[in-house]
Amino acid sequence: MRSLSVRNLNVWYNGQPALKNVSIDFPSGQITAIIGPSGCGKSTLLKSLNRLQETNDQTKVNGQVLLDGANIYDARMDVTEVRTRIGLLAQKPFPLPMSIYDNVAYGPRIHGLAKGNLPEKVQTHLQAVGLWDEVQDRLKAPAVGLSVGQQQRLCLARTLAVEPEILLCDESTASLDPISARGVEELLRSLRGHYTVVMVTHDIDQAKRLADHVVFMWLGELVEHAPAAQFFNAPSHPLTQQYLAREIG
Amino acid sequence: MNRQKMRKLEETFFTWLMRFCLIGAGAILTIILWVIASRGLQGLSWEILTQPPEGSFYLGGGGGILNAIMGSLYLATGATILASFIAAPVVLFMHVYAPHSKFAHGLRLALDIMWGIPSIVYGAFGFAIMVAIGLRASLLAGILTLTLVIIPILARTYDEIVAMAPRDLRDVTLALGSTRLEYLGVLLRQTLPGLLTALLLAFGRAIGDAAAMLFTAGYTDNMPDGLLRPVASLPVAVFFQLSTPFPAVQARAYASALVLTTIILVVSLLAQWTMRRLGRHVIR
Amino acid sequence: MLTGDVWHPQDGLFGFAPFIAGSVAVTAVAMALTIIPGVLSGIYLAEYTTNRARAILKPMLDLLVGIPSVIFGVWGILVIIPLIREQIGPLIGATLGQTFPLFAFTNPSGYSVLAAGMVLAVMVFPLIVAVVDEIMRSAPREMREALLSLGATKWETTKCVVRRCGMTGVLAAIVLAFSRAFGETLAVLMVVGNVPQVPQSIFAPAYPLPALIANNYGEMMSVPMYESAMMGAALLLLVVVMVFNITARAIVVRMNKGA
Ligand SMILES: Nc1ncnc2c1ncn2[C@@H]1O[C@H](COP(=O)(O)OP(=O)(O)OP(=O)(O)O)[C@@H](O)[C@H]1O
Ligand SMILES: [Mg+2]
Repeated sequence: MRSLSVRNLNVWYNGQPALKNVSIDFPSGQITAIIGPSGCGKSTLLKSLNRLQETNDQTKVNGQVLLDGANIYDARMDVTEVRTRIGLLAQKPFPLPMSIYDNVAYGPRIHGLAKGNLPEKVQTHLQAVGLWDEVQDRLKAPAVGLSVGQQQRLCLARTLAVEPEILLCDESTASLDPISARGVEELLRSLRGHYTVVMVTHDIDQAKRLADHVVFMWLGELVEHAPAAQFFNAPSHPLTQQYLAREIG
Repeated sequence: MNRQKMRKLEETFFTWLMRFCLIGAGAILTIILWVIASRGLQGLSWEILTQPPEGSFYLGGGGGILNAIMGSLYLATGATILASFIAAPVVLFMHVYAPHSKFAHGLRLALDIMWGIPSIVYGAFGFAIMVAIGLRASLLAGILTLTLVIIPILARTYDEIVAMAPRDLRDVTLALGSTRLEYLGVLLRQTLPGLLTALLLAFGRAIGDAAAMLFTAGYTDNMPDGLLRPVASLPVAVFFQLSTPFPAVQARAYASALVLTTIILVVSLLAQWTMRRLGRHVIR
Repeated sequence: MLTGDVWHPQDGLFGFAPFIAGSVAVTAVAMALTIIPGVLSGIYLAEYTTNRARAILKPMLDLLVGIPSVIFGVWGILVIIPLIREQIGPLIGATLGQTFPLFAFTNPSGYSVLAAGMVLAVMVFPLIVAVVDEIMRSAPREMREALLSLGATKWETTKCVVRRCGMTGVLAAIVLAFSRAFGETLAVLMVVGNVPQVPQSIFAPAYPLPALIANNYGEMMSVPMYESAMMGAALLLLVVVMVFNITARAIVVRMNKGA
């Protein structure tokens, strides 16, 4: 279990600040939920945590993200290794244009994990996301043929297959029907204790159901960070109180 | 760990290979421009730019290439004007009356295929038709052939620009009770800078084309002096001057090449400039 | 007429084989020289450059597409011919040429299939780069982000994007460049030597179809059947180029349907 913390992170798009001096410690092995109104910088924060943000041309990132105490933005850090260790599940499911099997097998293949037992590995991960029974007889079919819910679970299996140490999920249930959403939620719950999970959600009830800790953001700034029970029962910041009362956002 | 190193190595290797290709290509193209410029400047003189060839021009005598410069300008201007009178209305009608029809689709396909046909083929068939109707190699025949060569360029470029016009424009104009013909006028006014870009691109292509001019426009040492008389053009002049064995004449070929390149570069830059201004108008 | 290999118009012999062979040889050499650098450059332009670098490189590419072929011909005569005559020819002739007749330095003038191929390669290069760049840019950004999130290197990401989204586009670019090279007239005519024979070596002169038409059309009309032979050559050129263009379009259409 690895620790992840953010120190004085600033991100700009074309000179416009999107994250302002954000510092957070994500507790190991627990689920931290990030909530806040649309456009407050949640996705930007997640993408900064695995250095995906810097692939955007118009962006500038400044600050530290510490993985086990080592800054991932350090020049000596290997970007691909950072992204392997910190997996990101994107806001919209995007199956790679290849077969279902290859989607899961791609990561282990490029990283040289699982020599010889790749099929078993694929099966394990598909089973873990509850997709195995649905797809086991069409593993060679193109992944785009799956339903959106199935796609999202496939993407999760794909992310887990590279064996990350930390999992970032950006509104992973937003595009799903209620039943698939429950499935993914169950899955995330089952990861508690094995992974450090950082999830973004718009759904306050979902945060209540899943999160151990909650972070509230507002216009690129961190407003409040507290254990879930304290956050929902006794929010300290007036903005948080208003947001939870659905008065703003 | 070993595998990590291999992946890194592969990445570095291919990145540098790609960079090497692009840099190499850039170097070659710089060399082209530099060679044309340096050799051309050696042969360039005021006389060359301002006088037609004298009798002994191709033996190294006096005179210049004004006949070819003027001939090229006449040919390209004539063809561009003629092509725009055919292409622009067709494109506008297509967008106003049948934007997504089978007809529009087929027309685009035909234009794209026409675009791909080598200009020597236009020249050959143009010449065959000229012979059939008894026309000699002349300015008129050259203009007509060039018009065919550049219609696809002009029409497709303009087509893409008109397609960029905001969709609302159509709805708003027609909702205000305008007729389709009036909408056509609005569309034309809206896309006028784009039409200018397309015209410049077509003009550039027309002025550089030699293969279609070889038999249709002919060649002469006189200044252009009539629609039905042969006319010189810059690319053909370069070609003929280079095929003589005299270094003095070849030097003039390089000078002519420089003149041609300069005209083309200026026209292309103008086209890009109008395009960029157009982009500003459409987006904001 | 298509397969005859004797060209003696005065005796009524109009064999097209040397000219077809000349066209194919010149185009093949050009493609061999330009495809890999062109595709790689197009990929680099699309995937590895910043917006600012693109803003400079893209207009330069457009400028190059506009340079007329006669200028490339002049450059070929000034630079490529001496280069082949004095450097490339003797070098390759003395090494590869000893074992492979294809590389034998048989023609010391330099006006050759290789010269025409090199000039054509430079001419169609920007075309390939532009098409590949366009195709690569149309690949969804999410795909790149998904691959990078799995810890793929940039090159692995690029490879996957090319293989899964860009393959047909690259193919279309190549076919298009091929047809452009096949129909190119003046630049080739100026450096290829114009000897009506089937070239045996890349250093041998050749006589491609467009050059044949350009050099002889409109003259020698007194020779019987000459004109129809020329029309036949033009028709052949037209058909070949149209087949290639339509193939390229079909590839692109199929690709758009697949995506
Ligand atoms: N590519 C971009 N270019 C410019 N500005 C951007 C870009 N992406 C995001 N932004 C801006 O940065 C801010 C934060 O965006 P971000 O996507 O992180 O918000 P978010 O909290 O994830 O919103 P949502 O809940 O809608 O997903 C917004 O103001 C947005 O407009
Ligand atoms: Mg978001």
